[in-house]
Amino acid sequence: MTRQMHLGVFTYPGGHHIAGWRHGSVVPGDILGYDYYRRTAEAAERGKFDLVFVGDMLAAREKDGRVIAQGALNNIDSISILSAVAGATKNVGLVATLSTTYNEPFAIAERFSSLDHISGGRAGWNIITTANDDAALNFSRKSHMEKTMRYQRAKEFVDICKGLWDGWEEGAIVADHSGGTFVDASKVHEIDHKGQFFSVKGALDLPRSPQGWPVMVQAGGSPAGLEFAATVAEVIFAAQSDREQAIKFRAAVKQRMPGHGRDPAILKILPGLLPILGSTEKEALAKEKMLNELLHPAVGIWMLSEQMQFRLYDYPQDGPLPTKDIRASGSAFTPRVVHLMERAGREGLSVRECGILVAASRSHGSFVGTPETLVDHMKLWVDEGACDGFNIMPAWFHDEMDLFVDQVVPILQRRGLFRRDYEGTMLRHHLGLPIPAASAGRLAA
Amino acid sequence: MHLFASLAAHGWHPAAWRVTGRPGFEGVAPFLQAAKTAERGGLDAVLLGLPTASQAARATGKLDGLHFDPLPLAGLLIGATRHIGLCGHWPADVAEPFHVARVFATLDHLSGGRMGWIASLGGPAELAGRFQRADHNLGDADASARFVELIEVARQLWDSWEDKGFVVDQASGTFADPGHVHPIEHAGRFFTVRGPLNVPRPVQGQPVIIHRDVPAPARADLAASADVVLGEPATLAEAKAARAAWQALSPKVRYVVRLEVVLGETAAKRAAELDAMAAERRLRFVGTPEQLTAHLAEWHVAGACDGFDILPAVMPVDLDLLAGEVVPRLRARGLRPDGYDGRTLREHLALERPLSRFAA
Repeated sequence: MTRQMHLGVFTYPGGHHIAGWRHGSVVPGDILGYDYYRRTAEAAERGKFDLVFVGDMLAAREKDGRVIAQGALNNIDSISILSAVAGATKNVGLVATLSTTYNEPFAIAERFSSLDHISGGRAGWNIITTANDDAALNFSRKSHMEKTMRYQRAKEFVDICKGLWDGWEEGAIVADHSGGTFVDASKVHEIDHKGQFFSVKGALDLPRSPQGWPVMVQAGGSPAGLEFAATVAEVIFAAQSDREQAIKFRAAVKQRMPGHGRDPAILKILPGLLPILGSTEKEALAKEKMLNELLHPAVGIWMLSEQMQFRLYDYPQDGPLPTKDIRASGSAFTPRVVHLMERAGREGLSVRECGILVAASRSHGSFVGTPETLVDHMKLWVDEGACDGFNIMPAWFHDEMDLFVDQVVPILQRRGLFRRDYEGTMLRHHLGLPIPAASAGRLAA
Repeated sequence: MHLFASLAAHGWHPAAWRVTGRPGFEGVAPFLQAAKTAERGGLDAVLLGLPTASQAARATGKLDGLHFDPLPLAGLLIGATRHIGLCGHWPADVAEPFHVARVFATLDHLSGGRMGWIASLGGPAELAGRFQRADHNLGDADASARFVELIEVARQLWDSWEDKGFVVDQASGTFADPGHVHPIEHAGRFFTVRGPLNVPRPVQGQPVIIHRDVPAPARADLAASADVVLGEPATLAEAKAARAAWQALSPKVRYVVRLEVVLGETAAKRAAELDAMAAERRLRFVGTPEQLTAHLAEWHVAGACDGFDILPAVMPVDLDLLAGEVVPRLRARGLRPDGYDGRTLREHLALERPLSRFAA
């Protein structure tokens, strides 16, 4: 029997295609308001999605100290968006991205515990170490922390959070009205952590939240990120556009998990997927063409330069991607960049074409076709072990999300590939993940 | 007269949890209910996350010392209310200005301009041990200097997008105007922040900034950023002097008195029962809605304050009486508007929307 897949939707101001916000149906003045995000969350719940996902970026999109005129915004604050939509939804999971490099564990543990309480057990934390060097300049640091160090910090950060989340035993709140005891202090366990990066002593001021811990999500694909994922991740949001590489990646993480005492079967990998759909193949291709024509070439070249940490502005836009110069620059490339350079070489892509490719899907997978062929594509990826589902990245909101929910989800359901209804109220239920035992984190910290 | 309510799950009297007859912990339900009640009463704002008891007192196990992070709580209330201001306490001791600016700008957009930031130094007692970094063990003078700089940087970040910076012109494909979005290039004693913020200018320009009153010598440093000051004066004369002192420093400051209330025909009996279980030392009013109305009017007319932050001793009863019985009486005296005339918290408080410092 085919495995059931899991679905998330990645919200974005405007849409995931970088020119998506220019589509006539988008009201650009609305993209920061409550109703914009509520509508997405409600559509996700109507489609029985596992989760709504929001990213995090700690610096503006800029070049030489100025914002990019044609570059749309990144996500605004994730926890704020998801706590706002929590009240408008009942089942769908709420996954917020927050950085371990630019936050403090006590504050983040308290924030996620609050989100999990507020939502009745629907919180997830996409743990990132922040890949954007510019963030350092907004946080009183001279330079961004080196990658290995960032992951060491992330590991310690997460251990502290788990310790804090597990501080309260079941039944710690006595609320004995006549006797006057509110809390049984013997059931509230403070942590007293002194480590390489943090010293934290104390307990949260909240009882353990419904899921115990938020679902632990991770997004990095580098070797250091992969090891970290094997250590903590229950869900991975990966940028994968190549099926063979996705299969290798999934196998590599799962292979490392037993070494950390973890069961590989629980892991769910959900690569980003930007669908461009039409009722015919031709219609879908025309839609893609329309979107790419809306894309300003300057945005593409800028995004490419940012991703490669290499200035492409002075190279001929219609010439080949100067992979030799880029490699010679000595930057440490992310797997996304390596993958793109290989593809550029293979397919002879120009600088402009690479820019469009990056800008159109931000190196996540995209698919152009009909709802039926999209379902075939998704099924193939899941069947071959490339992933466990997808984080859907609509090209623009709300039409493209509604299209997916109304036309793709019913096919997935009919073919037995996706749930017809929720079977639980918590995100851990949707993903088939266990609720961590109350002492798990306490022992670890 | 401005009117706020500070929310707490069971109430502000330390023995409140013993008389509500409700379970010790009911999640966010009490806050949702309270925010809706406050909005029905036409209050200007609810205040979230101010500590009900000191950490030391909580540790005895005798108090309801539970505490939600007020920022996700504010987020939740955005969807549950339409008009009322939402003010969240984010202690400045350990905050980073970029985070503060980003989160409050986001909440201000989501709420259509209803946010306020209660900025205060929580003090070492509240945060001891939870955050240990070199710059968190500052002496009082340095902690205050850091606090002042933090607020200044957050305000610069909100200004970094002029209104004209957020263009979103679909026809030309221009999302932002780089000429009107500015790096702030702040390099101060405690913070180095390049900017700009990656959220466009908040609906209110800058969210409302709320300070807790500080000893007189420290007021001058906070006056520039203060929209509202929460005072806990012991007497009317003290309130009058504090208000005059703040407004001499900055005429726009709304000086608001925090006042716990025990209301109803049996208020005196209820207060005595509560005090028998736990003593408290806070400015408090015990009486009927009629008497409270007269009391608030007296202080207001005497120029002791610009409004009140009401701390219901027991929830929901004392908040229900405030909204249902006191507000109509204040309206009858012409001291409160009949409903919400404005859209934003600044409009509720008759505070101007600040211009970006970068605007020509």
